[in-house]
Amino acid sequence: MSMTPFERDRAIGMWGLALCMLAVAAGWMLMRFGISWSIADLPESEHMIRIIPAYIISEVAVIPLGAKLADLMGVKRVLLFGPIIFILSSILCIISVNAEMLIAFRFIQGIGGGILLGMIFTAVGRYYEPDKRNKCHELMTASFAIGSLFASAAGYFLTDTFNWRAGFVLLAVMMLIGTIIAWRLLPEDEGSNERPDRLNLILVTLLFGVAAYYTQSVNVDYALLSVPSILVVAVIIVLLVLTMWNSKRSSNPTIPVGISGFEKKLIILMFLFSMCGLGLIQYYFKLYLTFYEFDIYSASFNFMILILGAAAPSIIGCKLVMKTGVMPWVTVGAVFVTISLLMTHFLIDQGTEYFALCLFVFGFGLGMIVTEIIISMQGITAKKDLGQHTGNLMAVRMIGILVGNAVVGAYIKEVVNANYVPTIIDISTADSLIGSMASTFGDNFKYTSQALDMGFTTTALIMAVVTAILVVIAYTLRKYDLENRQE
Amino acid sequence: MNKKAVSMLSVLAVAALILSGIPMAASESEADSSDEYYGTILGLSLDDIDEVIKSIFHKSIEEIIERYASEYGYQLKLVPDFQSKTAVTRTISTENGLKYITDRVTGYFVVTADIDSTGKFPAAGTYTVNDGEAVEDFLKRVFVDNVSSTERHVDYTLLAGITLDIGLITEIDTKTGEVKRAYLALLPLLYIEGNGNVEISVETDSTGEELKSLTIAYGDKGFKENVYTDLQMEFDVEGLKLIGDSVWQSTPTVTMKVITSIVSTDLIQELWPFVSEAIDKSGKMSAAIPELLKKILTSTDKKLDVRGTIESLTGSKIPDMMFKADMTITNYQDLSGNEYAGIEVQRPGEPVSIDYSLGNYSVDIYEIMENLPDDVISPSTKLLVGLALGILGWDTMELADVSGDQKAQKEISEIQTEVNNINIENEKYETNIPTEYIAIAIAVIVISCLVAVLMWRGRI
Repeated sequence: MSMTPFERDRAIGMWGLALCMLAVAAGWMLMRFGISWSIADLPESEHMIRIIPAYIISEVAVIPLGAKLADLMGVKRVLLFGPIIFILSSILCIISVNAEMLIAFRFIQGIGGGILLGMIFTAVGRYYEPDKRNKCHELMTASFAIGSLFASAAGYFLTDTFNWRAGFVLLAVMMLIGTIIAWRLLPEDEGSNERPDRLNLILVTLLFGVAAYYTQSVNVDYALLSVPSILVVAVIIVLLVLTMWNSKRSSNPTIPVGISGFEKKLIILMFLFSMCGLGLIQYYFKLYLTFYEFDIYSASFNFMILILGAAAPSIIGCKLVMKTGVMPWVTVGAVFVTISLLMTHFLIDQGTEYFALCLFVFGFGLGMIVTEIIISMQGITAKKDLGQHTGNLMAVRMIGILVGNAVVGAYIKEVVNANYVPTIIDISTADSLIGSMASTFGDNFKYTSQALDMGFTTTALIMAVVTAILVVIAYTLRKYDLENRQE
Repeated sequence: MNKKAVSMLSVLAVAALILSGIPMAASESEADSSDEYYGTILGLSLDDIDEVIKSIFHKSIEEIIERYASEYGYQLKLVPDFQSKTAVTRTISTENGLKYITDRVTGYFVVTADIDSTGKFPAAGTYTVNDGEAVEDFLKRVFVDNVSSTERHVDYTLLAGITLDIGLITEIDTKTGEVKRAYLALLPLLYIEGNGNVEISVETDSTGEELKSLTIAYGDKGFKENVYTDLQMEFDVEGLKLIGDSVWQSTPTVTMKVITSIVSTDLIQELWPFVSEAIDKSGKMSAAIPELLKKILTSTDKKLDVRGTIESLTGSKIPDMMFKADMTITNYQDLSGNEYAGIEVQRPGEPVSIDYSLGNYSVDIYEIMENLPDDVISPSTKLLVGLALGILGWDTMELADVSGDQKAQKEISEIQTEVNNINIENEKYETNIPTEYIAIAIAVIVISCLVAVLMWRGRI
């Protein structure tokens, strides 16, 4: 079927946005691999570990803001400043001479990334009719997945071949090209031009920002069951109550209020699937590297298998979701995710072929869930409120991923601490002290690797139980989205 | 250095670490004193080295090398230089019932050699070792048989240096006489720098042992490589305290926690075969960590935080390491009335005995070496090392009280500053942003601003 020039320009413009999305997603994971190694040419700093969280926290905090601004100002006006923040901060990252500068600029970069992340998924809804959004959403989800999953390997390659700064050059250039394409070819999009509720915007940004901060600081700066942890959780609860209270009274809230049970279920499903799904991916990666083979390219290759697994069900699911409703897809997807998590529990450490099979089935299940939920949610949302609903959903999704990461990390730490029996090297009986130290170090590392395996596989089993419950919740979605569609 | 010698040195290092607090614990009954500062400087010059070499080989370094070169038909002029200074200090301070003993050994050893040679040199190119060809025959083939007909003048300056900065802080509870904690910082640096009009590069097999080929190139050449390590560890000590006038409770358990483990890895590709061999022979680390350390260490020539990298990959902390030792410590006095702690560490085979002076900070290095079992250091090696120590005057090391000696303090400070400067020069920090990235940054900013203006004005 041939496209009109308008449709062609719009489609190419969306590819421009997909390039921006690739840069945003890659920005998250670009320096994930061995930060100390990556920026080894900068002076040592105890704050080095903040380089990743700095980006994540600001990014998640402003996702609802970016989506809401798309509603208020239109997509193209957001394109005027979101990418500029991202590009300029990327350049500032390049000229950083210490970790502290890099952290500050990464934080600003995250603001640009978050605005775009919220805006792009909203843009799909604003530019396309409900039954024509599927391909664009697939494109954006694929860009996000590819950017997230392969940025570690790309960052490793660029750092090893050139310098860690090369990664930021790539991000800036990708963003610049994507923005020009999108700006040049996307049609004009007038927003509602309503006045934003600034207090509500600030509250929502703070809420998601503090929630993201909690996921990045718990088990790093303080233990899960500690006074600081409880204080931060208390702050989150207070902010949540305040935000909900304020949103109900706002004429123009940033997050949706008074939503249907169906939408609430979609939000819960998105959060929990992100937690049990995408939140675990980092640990598949770490497990492969420490348990099987320390080869970042081989480890990344497994993500190709995951994406291959997700491709077919995602293409078919996104195409049919507006005809069948989201219920069958999410229900069947949840079944496959449950199966894949059970497979992970029993088979992941049995060999690399089993490892790949687990990821394939995992991708197969996720392919029926994430994008389908976004399409379904946008299908029942009026155009003027797309940003409000989409931004909220995307922020919840990101928080879900981060919570999944934190939960697995915390559990693995517990496994390590609880089961470790220290080896005492007896200088008086050891034939070779150096040999004994090398051997103990090796044993300790092997223990850590096995604890990672044990912690991860146990968590996978717990997550399988959660996703099994999600099957039931998904089944109760019924055909609400078919019966309440907004054109 | 054989495995036993390495092992024994490690035992001595750990024993020294544990026992460094003994003099302080032994004098715990004394009232809290103000800061004490002891120090000495050990110097070594080319003349000292030459003296040792002459006493062994009956020839100076220049004569040995020039004669070796003449065997290959080259006229060679060698101007070597050697500079070495080491400052050994101990400061003692008391704070809140805890005594802190800070021992520091800071030294540098720098060798420079100006080599000036005239002769018929081999043509530029790569020379490969033939199957079964001995290295000596290969070198003769390249440098004697295969030389070009034209005479060439070659000059080269080689600079090689080692710096060592070891700091040990020991914390002792003055009330109980208990050694509580120790903090050890090790900053060894090895660097090699060469500049001249010739470059000879060597290719070896994967083990690094067998020479495969040799490449000779002429023209202005230079290189600089180093191995820089910053290792900082904390030791929690239990079961080491003075429980009488001369009786020690000496059942120490030491928990070692790595605080920092930075390695700059310029030379790691070259050194890896030796590291790998040492690890393989003495432990099962390589089997337990398939390729991990090698992959991370050889993946970059930059400064690398080994612990941080492993932990960021696994998401877990590498557990600490614990040690214990069967040892007895008894205080005694020699005929002159000097007080010592006689330490005997049980080891498989023979125990290791160390006499540690308690009256002042002095170490009889010669005696320690003499006490080492013969299977660790052979009698002939002992004789040779003993001779060298005697000539250099390093057989006994005494630390004088330099609390009021401004001149000595200044000299010590100069050595510590010199070592700091060399270390900073060789650290792989690049706080200067690479020029190409500055250019890229400016270009991207200009283009971005231009694009933004054009977008704003509706031109694109």
